[in-house]
Amino acid sequence: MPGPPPDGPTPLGRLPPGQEGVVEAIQAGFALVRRLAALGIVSGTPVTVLANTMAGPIIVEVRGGRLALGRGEAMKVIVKPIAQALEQPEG
Amino acid sequence: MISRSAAAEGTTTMRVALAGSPNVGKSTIFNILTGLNQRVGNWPGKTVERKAGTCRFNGVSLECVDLPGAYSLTAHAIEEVIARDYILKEKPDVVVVVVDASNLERNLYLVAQVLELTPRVVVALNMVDLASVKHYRIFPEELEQALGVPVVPMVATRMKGMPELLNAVVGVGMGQRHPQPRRIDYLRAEHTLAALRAALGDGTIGGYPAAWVALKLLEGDEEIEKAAEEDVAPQAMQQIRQVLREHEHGPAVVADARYAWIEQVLRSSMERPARSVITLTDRIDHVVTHGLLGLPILLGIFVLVFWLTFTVSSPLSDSIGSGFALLGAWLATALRGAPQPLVALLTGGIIAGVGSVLSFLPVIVIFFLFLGLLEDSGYMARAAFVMDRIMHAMGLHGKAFLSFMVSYGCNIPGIMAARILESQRDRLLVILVNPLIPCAARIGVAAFIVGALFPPALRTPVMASLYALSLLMVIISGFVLRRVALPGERAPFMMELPLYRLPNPRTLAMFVGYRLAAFGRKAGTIILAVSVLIWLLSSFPVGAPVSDTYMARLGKLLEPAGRLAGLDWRMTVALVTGFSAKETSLATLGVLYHAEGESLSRALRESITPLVAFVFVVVQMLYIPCLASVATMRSETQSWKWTAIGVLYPLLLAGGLGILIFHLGRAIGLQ
Repeated sequence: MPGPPPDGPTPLGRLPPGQEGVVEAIQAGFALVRRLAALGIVSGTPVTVLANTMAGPIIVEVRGGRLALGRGEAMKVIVKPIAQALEQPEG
Repeated sequence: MISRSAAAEGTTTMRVALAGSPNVGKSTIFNILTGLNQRVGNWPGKTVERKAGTCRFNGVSLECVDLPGAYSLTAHAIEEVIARDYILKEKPDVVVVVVDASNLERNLYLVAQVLELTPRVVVALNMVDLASVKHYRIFPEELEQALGVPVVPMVATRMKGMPELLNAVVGVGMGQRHPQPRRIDYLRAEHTLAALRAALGDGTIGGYPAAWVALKLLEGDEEIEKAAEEDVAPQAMQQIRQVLREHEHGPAVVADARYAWIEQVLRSSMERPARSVITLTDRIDHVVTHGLLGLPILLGIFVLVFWLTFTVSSPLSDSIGSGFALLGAWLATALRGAPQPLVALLTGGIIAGVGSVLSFLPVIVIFFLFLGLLEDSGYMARAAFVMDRIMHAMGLHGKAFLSFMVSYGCNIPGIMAARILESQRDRLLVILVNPLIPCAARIGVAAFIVGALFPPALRTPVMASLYALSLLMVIISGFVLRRVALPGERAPFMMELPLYRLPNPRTLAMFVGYRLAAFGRKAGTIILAVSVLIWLLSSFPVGAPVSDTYMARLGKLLEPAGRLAGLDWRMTVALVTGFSAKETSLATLGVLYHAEGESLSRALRESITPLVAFVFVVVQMLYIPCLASVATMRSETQSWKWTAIGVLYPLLLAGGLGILIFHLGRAIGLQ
């Protein structure tokens, strides 16, 4: 169950749907770093979680496109959550 | 062919390569360019499809090569290595990079990498119509200015922008336009790159330009490291290792630099809303990727697809079947004077055999049509997402499901669809369990037999139990094979989810046609040959009763094995001939029972019990991939060992399961 939005650096896979964040680090080998980069995820990239059931893969919005990421991969991307404006994302 | 200039055949020829990520419409552009002038094969020594073709424009002959789809030009996938090697070593005159305007920022990453290889680039800015859905405003002229290479806005599915694209390509290829790409500033890495270049010296390393090799070494590219180790003096190599050790964040720094470059390019050439607008895609995804609803929706969609496929196709199949029956009868009368064995071969062997196979055509066409609709609309990527957790049980990820789905139509394109997986081990696993998925032909045979032996109320539950049983076997086999034969870590799952859109008829036709071609080749060759063989075996010695033909003798030889699962010699023979193509099982039963259609149903009811029928159906569904599938397995795995395992494993599984079901059924008093 999604708890309250975390505020320190957190694995992307732990962010609840609607939460935005900025990628801080990718804790993975060269190969995964390069592949994530090819799909738009590098340090400093803003991301928004669109779907996350806290098990299985997640969907994120990155650079205007949407991306499905396996749980394992999502846990290796460390993000800093952005405090959100009060308005809730639709849905 | 796009255009034919008034001038006589021109002598100028140029080579054009098409590059682009998956889902950007690259194949559509390639098909419009080359039309029917295509040569499809594999890249030398690789199981990656290579498409090439020619096209003429303003008297220039363009030799086009469709490079494999890739998101980047690192070495992680064979497709990427092929693409970059082609550009660097074959040196095409022009490289067209196709990008999706609605996903421009991400797609420019590939453009940046292609520009690291060659300046002779034209950017095909495709799907400009989709960009407006996201409220993006893209200014092609400014983009061209910022990139320093020609940019052509287009909507390939509606044929918009093709002449302009060709104009730009010819302009660059003929040297009338000189692209001067905006330089990528590698920022923090420039210093390191300079050090690497100094160590590498001028000239080429393994055929690659030194400056690019320096970049790839910094990115930790294994292929290029190997090439450098072979080509660079040990002393220099030591120096290089020293530099690399001091810069362990190489890949991240290089990627950062490319995205910084992209940001500069887009600053003047694209406007987009500060907050992304809620699109139809958001609304649909909210439901179909929902944690609880996603799976039931997917199941519902596929049940509907199967139901529609068999409902719509059954009258069509019937009319094809009766059409061939009529043709046979007409031929028999028309050739009354001809030698009897020849007429019998023609009508009983060739026409009946091919007819029974072609009557499966509607099922396959309609199934792939629905699958194509799901694919082109964008839903299939979501299906992969939803199935990812289930595929996990087999150590696979969601994309593997897409290959399995195709196999429900025909295993041949299904096995070939394993190519979408990046990991060699994953491909192998998907190929090995693939034959356990019943194709339309096997389901057709099962439906006929179930229809003959079971009362109407039981037919649907029995068919559903067959699908469920096969799915269970797929999951268990995947689980076991992963642990026993193909251990290893799960490959990362990352997949783009494209915007939903209305399916395009041209793309749909391509999707169906491509998969149908595989089936058609098989119907025209293997099945035809085997139909004749079966007919010969079951017609000789001349004048012998059915129970004394060569076919019957073969069946009686194998009967002891069949007996273990309660199958008589006729059923055993039907399984043997089914190896040629599953569809022929029914035709064989028809020959052996001297009956067809309704009369075959009656004959089966009189000679076998529902339990035996069920055992037969289970065995024929799982036992062995058809001949054409085996050939495909061999060409895709490039290994006889894995092909043998792919044949023997389902054979043993089906045999064991058949014996088990038969004896269990008997034990609980079933007939």
